[in-house]
Amino acid sequence: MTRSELLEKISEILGEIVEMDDLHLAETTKAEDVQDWDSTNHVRLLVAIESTFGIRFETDQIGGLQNVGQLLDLVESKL
Amino acid sequence: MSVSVVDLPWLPAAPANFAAACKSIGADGCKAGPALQYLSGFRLTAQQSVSVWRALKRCKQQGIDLSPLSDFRLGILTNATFDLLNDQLPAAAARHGVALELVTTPYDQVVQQALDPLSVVNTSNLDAVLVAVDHRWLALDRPKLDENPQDHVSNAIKRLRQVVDALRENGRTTAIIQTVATPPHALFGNLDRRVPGTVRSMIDEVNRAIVQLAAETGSYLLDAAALAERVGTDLWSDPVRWAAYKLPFAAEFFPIYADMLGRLLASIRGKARKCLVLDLDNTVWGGVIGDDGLDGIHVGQGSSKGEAFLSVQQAALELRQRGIILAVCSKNSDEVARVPFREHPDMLLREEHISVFQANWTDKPSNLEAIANALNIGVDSLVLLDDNPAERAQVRASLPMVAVPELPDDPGWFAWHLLAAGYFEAVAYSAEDRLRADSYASDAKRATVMAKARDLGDYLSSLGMVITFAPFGKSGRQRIVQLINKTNQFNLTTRRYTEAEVVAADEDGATLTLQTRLQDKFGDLGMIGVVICRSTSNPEVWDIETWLMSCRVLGRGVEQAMLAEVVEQARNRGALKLIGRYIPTSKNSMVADHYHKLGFQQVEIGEATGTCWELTLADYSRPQLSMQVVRGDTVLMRAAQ
Repeated sequence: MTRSELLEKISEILGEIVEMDDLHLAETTKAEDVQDWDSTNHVRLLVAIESTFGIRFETDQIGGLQNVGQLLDLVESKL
Repeated sequence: MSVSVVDLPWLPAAPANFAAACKSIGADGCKAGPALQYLSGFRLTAQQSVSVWRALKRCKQQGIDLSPLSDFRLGILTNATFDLLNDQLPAAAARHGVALELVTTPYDQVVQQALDPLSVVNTSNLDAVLVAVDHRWLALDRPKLDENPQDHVSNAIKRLRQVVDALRENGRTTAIIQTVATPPHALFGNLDRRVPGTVRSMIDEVNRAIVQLAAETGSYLLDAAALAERVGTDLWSDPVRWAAYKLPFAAEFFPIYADMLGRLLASIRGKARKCLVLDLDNTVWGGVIGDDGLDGIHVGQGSSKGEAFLSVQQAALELRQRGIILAVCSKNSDEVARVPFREHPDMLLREEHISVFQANWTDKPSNLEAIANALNIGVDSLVLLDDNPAERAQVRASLPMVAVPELPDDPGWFAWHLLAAGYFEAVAYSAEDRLRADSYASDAKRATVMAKARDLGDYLSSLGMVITFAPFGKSGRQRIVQLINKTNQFNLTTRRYTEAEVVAADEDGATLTLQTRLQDKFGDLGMIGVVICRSTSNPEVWDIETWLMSCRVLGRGVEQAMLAEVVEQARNRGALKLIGRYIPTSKNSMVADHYHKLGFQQVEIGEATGTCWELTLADYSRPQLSMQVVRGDTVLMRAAQ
């Protein structure tokens, strides 16, 4: 999967969670930029990503993600 | 191959148009309640569950009637982050016939919410409150080797009882309490159960006390510990997710936990299923009784296959013992279907165990309605166990309220799937229940079936059927000879041929031979039909000497497709008229009106038995077929054995 395909897929997953049909995230997007991307929906997002890609985030990887780009780095490192 | 409840394998996979179907609930003129239950009956991802929840919320907001789903207002008190579990609860409840409204509470306020008469949980008019607390909340997550462990267990129970009592007093609501899953570590190893202060020992104690507490306070019990044990506590316990998000246990088990809660709520509402309907061939015995005969079916001692089918019968009998009614729904003639019940020494099921016995050639949905009517219960009380995926699909499409578990190919796993699905959940058990199955006259009676024309919509085309026609040729010959000589029921003239006669027919220019093969999306059904049609002394009149078919493919329009093929080939050879005969035997009454159904006209003949029919080809128009037609030649048919 290319980086931009991954970005699209994660946009789709988050879009379903926050009920936005046409969400297109950018590498620099932060949680506060997206309406309803609160802490509960963040947990939903991470669990959904784990389930979709068959990966598991480790304890010290879960906190501290500043933007979508860093999330993509993390997911890519596990694929 | 191993099976686990984690993926809910008894649920079929969701259709491609799931999201669209969810969005249209309540807006498309169809009843919303059954639609929600139908869509919830698939294996769903977390997001699909949420879609169902959104559809449910939308219907409630718009005041749309959700009957026959039963309403339930459930509060959640927990020391964990339950949001992701809540996501799955409404779909799981709808699956079992309940329209769920969830009332959630602020994080980790279990005691506060229960004790405060003005709290959300006490002022929301709830039907029940799930008290989902774990070993951490009960303070049993650390060993107590130096202190008195019994005190810790007592304190834990006191704390839980306090919550349960407060909910009843302040909120006028019942608690659903749960047993505690044991974390996987051992402090000593094999000695843990023998030292009272280990976590394992204390949790064993508290679980006994929780079961007692449920009985004493009239609370409901959700056996989370049993579920954790079943899937494995190493997988269940997820310390990383607890540390990061306070998830109560591993997220992969949220769907099955939700389903178990859904069953419990349905049972509280009296919606647990009451009757198990059994298909016969290849479901309770191996083989097809109509073709294989009493000696040919596999049931019981002597083969692992026979043992596998016996386990299905054993499960059915155990369910009957606790009050579940048994019925039979089989595509067989009635007399033939009863033979193993009456005469096979290894059968566990006998006619006296079966309250309604439907064996006929009418479609299963009509028969299921007849069974429900005869028992005076709703169609939504039925579970159908059937090895045939096409039958399962047809019932699901026509009667979405009937529970139809998916089954794997291996019959050794049938009983597992039936029982794991939890259709017969109960919240109480009494002598009355035990006797229920007997109170329905156990005379294996036949109920009158009113077959109705059903709009199955896309069902037949969704089967993706491909029918292949070819002349006999060399490659299919063995199978052709076998079918000709062994098919008794769907056989118009029961004319037997030796292999030499089959070869001769094949090579005769004035004879039309047809072998028919059917595949659908579930697999290859192999060769399912044979026709031999000969020119008479008048070359414009052709006589159908042999027409036989496998009973497995009834109700799919195969007869119409075969006729279309015969007509075309006969026409190409100069025929203007086809003649068909029906010669009755003790076994083929099911085809007495075969030619009538195909639009032939009956003709008078001087003979004593049987009927004669004719079709003028000029009057015939080829119908719309629900399958793709392929014309093979003998080379292509080589694979079809």
